[in-house]
Amino acid sequence: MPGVLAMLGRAVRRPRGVDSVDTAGIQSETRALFFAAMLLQNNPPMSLGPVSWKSMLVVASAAALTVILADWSIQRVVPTTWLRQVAEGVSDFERSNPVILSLSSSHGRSMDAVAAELGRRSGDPGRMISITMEAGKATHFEYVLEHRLQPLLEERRADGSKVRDRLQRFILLTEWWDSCTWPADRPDVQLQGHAWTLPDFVDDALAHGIVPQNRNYVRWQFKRVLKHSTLLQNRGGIILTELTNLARGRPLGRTPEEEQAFTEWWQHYNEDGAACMLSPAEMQAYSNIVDYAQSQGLDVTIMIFAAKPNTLTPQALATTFTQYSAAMRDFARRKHARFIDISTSSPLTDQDFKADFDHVNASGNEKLSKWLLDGELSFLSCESGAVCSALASQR
Amino acid sequence: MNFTEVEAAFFLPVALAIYWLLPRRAAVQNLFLLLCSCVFYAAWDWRWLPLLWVGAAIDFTVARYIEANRGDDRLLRRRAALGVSLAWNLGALVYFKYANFFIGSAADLLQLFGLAPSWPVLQLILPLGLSFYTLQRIGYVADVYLGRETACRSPLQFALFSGYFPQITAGPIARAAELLPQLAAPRRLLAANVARGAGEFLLGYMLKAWIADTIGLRIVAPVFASSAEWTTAMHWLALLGYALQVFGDFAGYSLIAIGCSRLFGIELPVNFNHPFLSRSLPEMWRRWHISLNRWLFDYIYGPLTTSRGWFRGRFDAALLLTFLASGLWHGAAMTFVVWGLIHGCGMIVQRRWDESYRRWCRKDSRFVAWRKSALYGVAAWLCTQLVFVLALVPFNSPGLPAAARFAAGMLGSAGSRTLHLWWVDLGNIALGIGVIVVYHLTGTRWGSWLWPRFVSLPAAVRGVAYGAVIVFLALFVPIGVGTFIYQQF
Repeated sequence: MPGVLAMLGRAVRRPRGVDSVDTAGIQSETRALFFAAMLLQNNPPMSLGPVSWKSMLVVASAAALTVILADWSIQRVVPTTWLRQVAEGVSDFERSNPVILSLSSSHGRSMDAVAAELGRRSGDPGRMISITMEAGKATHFEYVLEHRLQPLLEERRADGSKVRDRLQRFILLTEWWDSCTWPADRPDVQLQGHAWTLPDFVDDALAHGIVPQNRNYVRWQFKRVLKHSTLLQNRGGIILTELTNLARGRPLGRTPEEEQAFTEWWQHYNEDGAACMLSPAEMQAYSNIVDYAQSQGLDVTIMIFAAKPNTLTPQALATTFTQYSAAMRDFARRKHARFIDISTSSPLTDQDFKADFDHVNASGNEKLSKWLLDGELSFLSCESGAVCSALASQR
Repeated sequence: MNFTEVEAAFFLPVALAIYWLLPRRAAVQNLFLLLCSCVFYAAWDWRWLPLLWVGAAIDFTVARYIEANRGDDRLLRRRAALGVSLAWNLGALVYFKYANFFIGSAADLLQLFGLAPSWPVLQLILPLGLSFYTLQRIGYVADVYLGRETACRSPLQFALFSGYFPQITAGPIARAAELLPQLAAPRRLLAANVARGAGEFLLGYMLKAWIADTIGLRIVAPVFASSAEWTTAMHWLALLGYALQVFGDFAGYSLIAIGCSRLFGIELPVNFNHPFLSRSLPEMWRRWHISLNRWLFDYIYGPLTTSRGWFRGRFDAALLLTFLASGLWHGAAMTFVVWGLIHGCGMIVQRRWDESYRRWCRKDSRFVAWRKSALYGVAAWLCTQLVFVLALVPFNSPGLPAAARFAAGMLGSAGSRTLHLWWVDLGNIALGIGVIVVYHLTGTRWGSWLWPRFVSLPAAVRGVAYGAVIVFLALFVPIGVGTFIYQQF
């Protein structure tokens, strides 16, 4: 109460320069301000007491150590592997002079295994470079080709010859969903985070401010800076699930019911694909990609990638997969490009796919790369166009 | 830019490092903070920067003009200058925030008389932070006009006062007397500021990114989205959850802004002070969004009740008007008007009750003892919190019909849906609510020892505790969290 009265006293004191002073109404003014003073009385915030730089350093070090130790411990349970993105692929391409260039969405990471196997067989480790893009669509591949790869593809030495003069082949790896345009309400999977450089981000941020689409770039860079931290890479989800499974003595991963539900989700997804695939924008992007590659004198191969067998229902095979294969075969024929479809013919089994049912695991990649290089992609081992054509025609 | 978004993890460390490496001169530090503020605001949309700076230039000039015309014979000039400032500030606010509301309301009114006007809906974007920086600048010009403040002489200081980035998007709304003197003096890097700022930032992040967003996502959003499907109990649970969500969201933002500013050596006013301890509505409003409420009472309630106009001495009418203004400030919709009406009426009832109780106390001293009893305290607390929580029904509804449906559902719902949460989610939510409870306990005499006891622990132990909190947040909070509720206002 004394505090309130003191405030009241201060409040009723007229500040200097007030325009009108009405002494007759001071009684009501007092009551009004009393009420206002009651409203505005405030308590002091919590204090930290005296703080020295030394104690702060101890606090910060202990906190950092705790985080590092927790990260290291969780890493034992939920190991983190940094997946190659466009930046890594472009960087590899920039530093090398490959014969084969592959461009695809995230499935293309299987092509890294193909490249490794091809390098081992040919004794030329830099023979093939794969550029993969998380959640990529055809329009995104086109963006990567135009903005990131084209300058490198056309880079020339002082004498006018191409810097990457060995490049002969271009592989475009697709899945049916690469030809569906992402809905506008999925900014988290849009192009920017995966293919931009800093100037691209700055340009876009200047034009639109920082919005969900271009924030992807910042997020990816943040993840890239701390790519060895499990806490950061798997933040907010997977770790928690895995740790609670561990605490409950359950095997890591999904329960049988969850596995079944997820399989059914994939089956429906594959069945419904026909509704969105082959969108005009994405098909135009495919066309532009192939046209550009051919304009650079590259031999183009279009390959439809393998799908997990238990996600393929008869309906999905009869509609989505048949239609996509036919459309892409027709597209390849029109473009005079080689066409390979391994969506249902690969030796991969359900066990060869990762938990996302989408990407191939390490053992699957090993199996797939050997099978491909012994079969459909055996021509990648040859240099000469004529020999390769003969090889391809034998198949 | 958003403090809880990943870009802040790049922006803040770089800005802090450069800021503290600069020469320790107020002008240099202010210039750099102004640059940071421009970058921060431009990250939302640089095209709105002129609105901010033109307004700041007008108010700076107006305040200087008022200062130069202090004489008794120059009242008209001062009033005209004040009018220019109010016209610009309120004009911008009304145009961007309320134009469509007024057009729509007028059209609705005309429809009652059988007219069907086809007025266009304006495609307007509400400039980020307009509601906050406008009030701060109006407060400054009014203080200079009333002679409480001297006009700022430095355009640089005033520009920073107008657009200081930690507070520009959602406050706290500072008084000129709080901020301008700090901007005039060079700031020193103090361990206490860094420690407290980092602590406030961490606590704010916890409240927003963990507690508010978890409760909002798991409990509030599903029920409010389709309330008819949910049981009566779920309606109440969602509403209580929303009260905690709004608290976590806005108190969290305020703490982040205050902590961030403290890292730059500048103290912003406190915005929340254990609001759920309140045992009366006036107490609630001096604990919840303190900076807005004191603005409303400084520049609306106070002038109304002390001026020579109709409102003089009419406290009930002034309270109602003040809370209607508060409601409209929160949003241009009838739901916010209703929210303001509920609180205005609640404040009137509280005022009448207090006056009556004082009379009873004078007649019978037992009333004084009852007022101090635990039973009175619990009843007062329950009534206060109930009014506050119930008023959130229109606050979080897209329209009055939806609010009415939700309110009806709280009395009895035909819906049968209940929440089925994974035990980890349940534990997570319970822990989050526990943090809010402990935070409020520290504001009581029973729990006031908690914080001093923690602070007195060895530094290494406190460090491990902070580290554990960071690990916990990494486990439960995904990168990038939702926007702040109050940024939309």
